[in-house]
Amino acid sequence: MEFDVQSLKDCFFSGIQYLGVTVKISLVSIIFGTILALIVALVRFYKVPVLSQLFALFVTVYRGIPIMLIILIGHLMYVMHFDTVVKALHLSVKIKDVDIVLLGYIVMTVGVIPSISETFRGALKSIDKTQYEACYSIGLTTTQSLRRVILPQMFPVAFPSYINNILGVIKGVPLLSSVGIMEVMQGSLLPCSVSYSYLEGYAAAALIYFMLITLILNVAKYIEKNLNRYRVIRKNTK
Amino acid sequence: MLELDHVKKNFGKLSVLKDVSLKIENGDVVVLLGPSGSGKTTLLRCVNFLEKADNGKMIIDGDNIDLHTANKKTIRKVRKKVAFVFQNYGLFQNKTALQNITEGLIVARKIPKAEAIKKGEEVLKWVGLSDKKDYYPSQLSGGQQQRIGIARAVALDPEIILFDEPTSALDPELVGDVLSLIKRVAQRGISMMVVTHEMSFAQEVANKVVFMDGGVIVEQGSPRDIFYYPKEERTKKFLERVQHNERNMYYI
Ligand SMILES: Nc1ncnc2c1ncn2[C@@H]1O[C@H](COP(=O)(O)OP(=O)(O)OP(=O)(O)O)[C@@H](O)[C@H]1O
Ligand SMILES: [Mg+2]
Repeated sequence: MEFDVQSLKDCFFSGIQYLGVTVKISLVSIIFGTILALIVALVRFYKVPVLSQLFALFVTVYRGIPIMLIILIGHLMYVMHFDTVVKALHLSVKIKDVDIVLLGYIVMTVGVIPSISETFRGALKSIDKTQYEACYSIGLTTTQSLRRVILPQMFPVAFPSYINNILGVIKGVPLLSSVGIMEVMQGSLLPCSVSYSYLEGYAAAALIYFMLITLILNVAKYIEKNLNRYRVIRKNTK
Repeated sequence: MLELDHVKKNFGKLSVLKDVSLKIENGDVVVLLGPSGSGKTTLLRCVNFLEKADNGKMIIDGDNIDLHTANKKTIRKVRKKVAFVFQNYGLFQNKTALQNITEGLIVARKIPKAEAIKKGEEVLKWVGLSDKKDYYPSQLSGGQQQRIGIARAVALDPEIILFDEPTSALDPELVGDVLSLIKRVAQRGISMMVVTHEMSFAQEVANKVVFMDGGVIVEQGSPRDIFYYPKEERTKKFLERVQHNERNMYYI
């Protein structure tokens, strides 16, 4: 089979038009997922009764299921219960009027919580107990300690795995094509249905992804450098 | 004045504090001695609510506080009067030396920032570390970190400072500096309760020595009473052992 550069170009430009969708789904799910994951991590870390057991169960179950299955189950529930939810909220929208991307937001947001919350929880655990106690000893409340001392120390620790979690989300977006969401990969394959240049289509999708992720990794590297400001290598001060 | 009444604390089945009562007058320097596991740290931690006692009362500054049932607000109120110096310094790793000192002033005491910084710089100067004010803890030696830890406690103007083995994590050559700083804290008239194994410090600085063993106060009195005329067998044994160890140190 010949590799056709023209097809690659066509596929690339077709795919890139859907970069917005991929980025939008990723961004929304990362932002909401991070906030929710932080809450889950804190609830579990402080062992809030009932809620922490509930979240632990959710995380365990969720981590044991392939994301593809979660998307398909999510889709089924979406189709079956859309009307019920809409009615309960006293709205008058029809499922066909709503962009299926909404499902993408929901599934990916929920899907990212287990991994990110585990990242955060691990980082919280790695902080020396004395840091918490020192906060309390000078009269800070739990919230103040978290905001001013614990979380600022947690994020740099969590950051490398957090970036991995984020990449996981972005790379998981093509799975949403199984429920009919058009994103970068499906976009790249659009011209292929005519030309049968699937290899070029996949290559184009890979290329777009590679560019996107290189960009993210570089931004991450920059941020990481600044995050580690206070964790300087110890100078000899004697 | 601080008074502890019938403080009890169990960890599971282990009874760590069995009915400890203690009185500390204003300006007292109380040294807490005792073998490992006798409950010294636990007692200090109960006073500052880092550990919740199972039973016991505390009278501080005229307020009568139940160590077991105190609510968050009461606990914070107590913590404004009781500062803590940790064995492993416990400086906020993400804050500079100066910020470590001003944090409690600004956030917990709601002192205006400019005023807090002024106070922080004053105290930094007092501990001789003005030039390190913008250093992060990871850039400071152990001795310097502990001096900042002490500065942080002193800046809060507490009624009493609790020291839990403040020099035991330090290299031997840095211990002297920190001990002489603690002596200067005492000279400021701040009451203190110090857990330490530095016997010469205890003899020189303390006006009251408390010997604990097995979760009870075995004996208390002036340094002279305890070190030269101990009444209890357990106290004598303990002192013999540490003095023996201290003598041996010279031969190592
Ligand atoms: N959080 C805890 N959980 C369970 N047991 C604990 C806890 N903290 C302390 N203990 C136990 O309580 C006892 C007293 O501990 P504590 O730290 O108060 O002793 P200490 O007198 O300070 O000893 P050291 O001189 O070694 O510091 C020890 O047997 C210890 O194992
Ligand atoms: Mg101890």
